[in-house]
Amino acid sequence: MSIMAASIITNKLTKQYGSSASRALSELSLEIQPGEVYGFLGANGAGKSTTIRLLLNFLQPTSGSATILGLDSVGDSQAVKKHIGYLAGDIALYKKPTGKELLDFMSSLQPSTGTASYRKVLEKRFQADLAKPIGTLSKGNRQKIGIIQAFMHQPRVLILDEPTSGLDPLMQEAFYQTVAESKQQGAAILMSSHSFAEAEKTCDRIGIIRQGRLVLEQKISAESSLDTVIFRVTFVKSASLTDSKSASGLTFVSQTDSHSGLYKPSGSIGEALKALSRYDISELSTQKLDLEDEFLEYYGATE
Amino acid sequence: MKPLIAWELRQRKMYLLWWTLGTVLIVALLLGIYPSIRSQAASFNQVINQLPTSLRDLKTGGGATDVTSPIGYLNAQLYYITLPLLQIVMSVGLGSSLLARDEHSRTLELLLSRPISRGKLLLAKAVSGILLVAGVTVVSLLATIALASAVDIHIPIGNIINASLYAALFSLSFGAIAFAFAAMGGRWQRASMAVAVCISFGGYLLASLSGLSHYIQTPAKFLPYHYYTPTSILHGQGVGGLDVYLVIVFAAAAVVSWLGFRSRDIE
Repeated sequence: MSIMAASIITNKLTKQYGSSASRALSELSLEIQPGEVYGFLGANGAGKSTTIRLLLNFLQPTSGSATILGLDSVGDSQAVKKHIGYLAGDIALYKKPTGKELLDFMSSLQPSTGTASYRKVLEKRFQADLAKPIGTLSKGNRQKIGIIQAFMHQPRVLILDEPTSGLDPLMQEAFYQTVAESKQQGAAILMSSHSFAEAEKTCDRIGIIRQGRLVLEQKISAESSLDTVIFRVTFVKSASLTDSKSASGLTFVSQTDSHSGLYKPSGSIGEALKALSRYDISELSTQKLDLEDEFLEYYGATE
Repeated sequence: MKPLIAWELRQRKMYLLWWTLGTVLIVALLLGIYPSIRSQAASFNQVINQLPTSLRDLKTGGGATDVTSPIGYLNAQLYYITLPLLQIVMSVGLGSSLLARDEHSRTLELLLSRPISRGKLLLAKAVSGILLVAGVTVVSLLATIALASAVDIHIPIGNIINASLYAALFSLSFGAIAFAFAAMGGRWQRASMAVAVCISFGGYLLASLSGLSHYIQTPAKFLPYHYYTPTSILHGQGVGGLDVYLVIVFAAAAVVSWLGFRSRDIE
């Protein structure tokens, strides 16, 4: 990955609002490669939208920097935006004009790249109602117009804040198809989402952000550690639970009650079972750790 | 920048229509009653001249006291209060909302996600506001020229054009103050309309009443209305210090807007 120049790079990007003691975003460093879809997961207020707004120069960083296609996101903001497609979370569009009028206007603000035909493809794919005033459309239909305006000029970088919000399953599939096309053409895509299924389906890599800090980055692949087995263990004696937290071969995840806990193997499953065999166990079960578990581990167990 | 201006004008076409209609109707009403006021000139002037100086100055700005003469009437009824009042309300409303409305509705993000510099966006918004006020001014000027001729007010057209032009520029200066405050965002943006209204109407009161007390004569020299003398313009005697005031306000507003908006957080 490091051979290719990353399309999006943030270097200790930090945002602190006014005199607020806490940071909305703290020293975020990440890289997104051309042709990569990066899922940005986190609870409300975790810092996802702040990151996106910093990349688009809507907010000024307190410290750190970001580059997009090698250009500084603040100093070269205007040049950067020639190559960006942006979809805001809970998108706000003008209400009086029709969808067609808005898309014509948005096209007039973007340098011509001869992609009128792709706009037509998207209009057909999303079956957007472009003849009615936008204010009269449902949230889902407004979202479709938002998606078309973000993708229609075939940008090299896409920044999408909860893009499938309000879309029905059929339109979600149309969106995934559009993302796949952009990825194939080499676009780097940063996509914030609340949907784990969506992230697993669409993204090459995910980052989990909590209280402004990136707490986990993870590839989504068959070999991913997200497919790790997790042990749910109930001990006969509660003392065993305390003792097992530091046992070699096991990584303690969380305690579920006075005699029970969740563990991940530190190494192989065999070594983990060998470590567990030293204790009197009344119940043992296993499950696959998926993306949602990983997310909840960082959010649920540590809150 | 042209698409941005065209878009803004299109968004506000009904706003422009209603302001134009309203202003033309008021101009028509004021000029339409001139013949009956002229026919009662002696008694009308007697009433006006019996008023305390302070009240008379509020109406005429200390200019001509013969309010039934063509220039005295146009000054007192149209160019000193009514037309600037309408255009100040319009300009301040535009100044405080051209940027803020997009920011509050979050459509500003949509615009700034495109390759447009903040400076160009600011300029496009300002030009849109000027064009909207210019549209109302041109139509009301044409109505004034036509109706003035119809009611036998014979003043050189060039003087009427100048009076309308300076009334519009004077009003726009308050819009520029509101625009500069709105561009700074946050609490400045929320205060933009109140500040511009206070400077304009508070200034009108103080400047008009400055003859009453020497305590307010000096501060009045720092207020816009002190330099606004439509009687002189209608007489073709020049605009006094109004040009200098306008240049200072527009230049200051441009600098403050740009510095305030170029690198601040979008709310």
